[in-house]
Amino acid sequence: MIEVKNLSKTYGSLNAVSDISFSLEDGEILGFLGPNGAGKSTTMNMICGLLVPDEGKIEINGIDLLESPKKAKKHIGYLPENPPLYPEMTVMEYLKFCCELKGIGKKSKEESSRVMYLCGIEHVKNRLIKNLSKGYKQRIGIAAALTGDPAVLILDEPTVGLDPKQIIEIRNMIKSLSKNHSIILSSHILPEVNALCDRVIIMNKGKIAAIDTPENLSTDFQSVSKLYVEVEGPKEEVLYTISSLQGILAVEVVKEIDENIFGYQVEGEKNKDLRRPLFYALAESRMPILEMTVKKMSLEDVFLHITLNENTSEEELNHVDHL
Amino acid sequence: MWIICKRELKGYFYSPQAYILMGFFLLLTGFLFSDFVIRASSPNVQYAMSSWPIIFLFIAPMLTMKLFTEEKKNGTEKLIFSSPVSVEMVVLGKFFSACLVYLIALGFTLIHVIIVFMLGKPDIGIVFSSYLGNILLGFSFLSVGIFASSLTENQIIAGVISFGMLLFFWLADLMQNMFSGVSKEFIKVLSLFEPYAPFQNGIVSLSGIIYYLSFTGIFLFLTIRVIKSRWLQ
Repeated sequence: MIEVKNLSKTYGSLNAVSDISFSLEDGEILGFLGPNGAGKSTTMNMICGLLVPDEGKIEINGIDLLESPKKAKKHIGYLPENPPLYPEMTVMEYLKFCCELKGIGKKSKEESSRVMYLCGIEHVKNRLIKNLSKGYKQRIGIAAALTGDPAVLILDEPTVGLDPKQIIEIRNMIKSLSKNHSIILSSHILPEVNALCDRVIIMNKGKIAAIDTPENLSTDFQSVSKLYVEVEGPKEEVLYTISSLQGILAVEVVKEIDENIFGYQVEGEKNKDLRRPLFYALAESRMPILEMTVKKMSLEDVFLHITLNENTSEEELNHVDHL
Repeated sequence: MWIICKRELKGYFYSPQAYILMGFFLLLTGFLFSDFVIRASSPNVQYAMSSWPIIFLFIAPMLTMKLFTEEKKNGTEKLIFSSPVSVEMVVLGKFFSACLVYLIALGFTLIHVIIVFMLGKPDIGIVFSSYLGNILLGFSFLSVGIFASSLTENQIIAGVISFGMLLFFWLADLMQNMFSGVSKEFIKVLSLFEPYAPFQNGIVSLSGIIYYLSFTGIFLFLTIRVIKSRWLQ
């Protein structure tokens, strides 16, 4: 659907985006994650034809954006971070204007009604945009992006500034839109990306740090397997039993629950399932396990790991870089 | 292009802006008319019309200052430039919307002409050429205004810039006598008012028409350049 190759953009001496390549498949939701200033918005603006890249190629539905911008832009619906609304217009007038901009002259009324229905804003169609709440404005922005039924939707932080109920509504809406559209979505709310996206791009300092599904990112970045266990029995004995098992790297007491019950954090070698040996060893010593949890690296951990750790090894990056 | 133009016109007439500016223009032109024509009981409506450009010099910046600054403020430039519309068409659409407001204001002044025709025998040729001169000069003012509004995000600054530039083009007309030789010729070229004089005397000067159209064209071209190089880079 979208093919981005070796895209670069510099502002003076600042490399806003340097040499990034990725693709968006049909019907996919692709998430852009990254700290502020990572180049997410710059990349999105370039895909929408708002910024001219210094280098690189953008193909939308097989059409080169830089060679024939008019044709390519017809396939894109863009919602910038702040929905681009004219406060003095009514919702209907505004959407009709958006339809006309996209070249739907005659059918603009039907098209406006269609997108209003999709976004659930029919009942406010004759109200002035300036009098509506932030949630409605966001919906109008999405409705505007949907006019002309573009194949690709680009949503820049679509849920920012909304209340929790509105966030859920907008998320459900995005999920349902993904049936007919390919979507690129940027966000810095990690659970949102986790819940919505099929694949995630983590950007840092203008570069792509990782591309993968949220699940793979969590497992691939985990350098050790971690368990949390609660065991009843004398502390020293439990520590000894666990640490004498094969493949255990470290074990420590993290919680005291009762006089004879402690919580332990166990770290083992990567990709090694420690649960069974742990169970048998402790059962043999007649020290019952009261609770056991596998500790997975959340997307948040991965994100922090990538963006905070300057010395992320190349090897580790290549591992997840399934370009 | 007409889509943009239509939206801008709606913008002008949904807000009090167009009404206030047009009202201001009509009030002052009406005052000139009653003084030069009615009170002097002369059919020479062109004397009153000769001062219209100076009134419009104050109005044009106010009419154009929001054209691009407002888009930037609302963030709607992202909507427009991510749509399949070219920058050229956007600039022309906005320019024509301002021109139309100006033409509507001029349309109302035809009342003066009708009154004069009812009361006496004015020279229809002079009236026609004066109108043509006013239209061409007005369009040039508006092109300067739209250029200024593409330079900044602040309406007031855009207004001040365009007013300052227009003032300069006006003063160039008055200043040319301070110079001599080549520099005088140069200042003369900059003077927007210099080619206006023949129109007042009933001469439809081809060089004047070409001067104003190319002046307008240059500023519209500059506006397009500014947007392409500053907004979309």
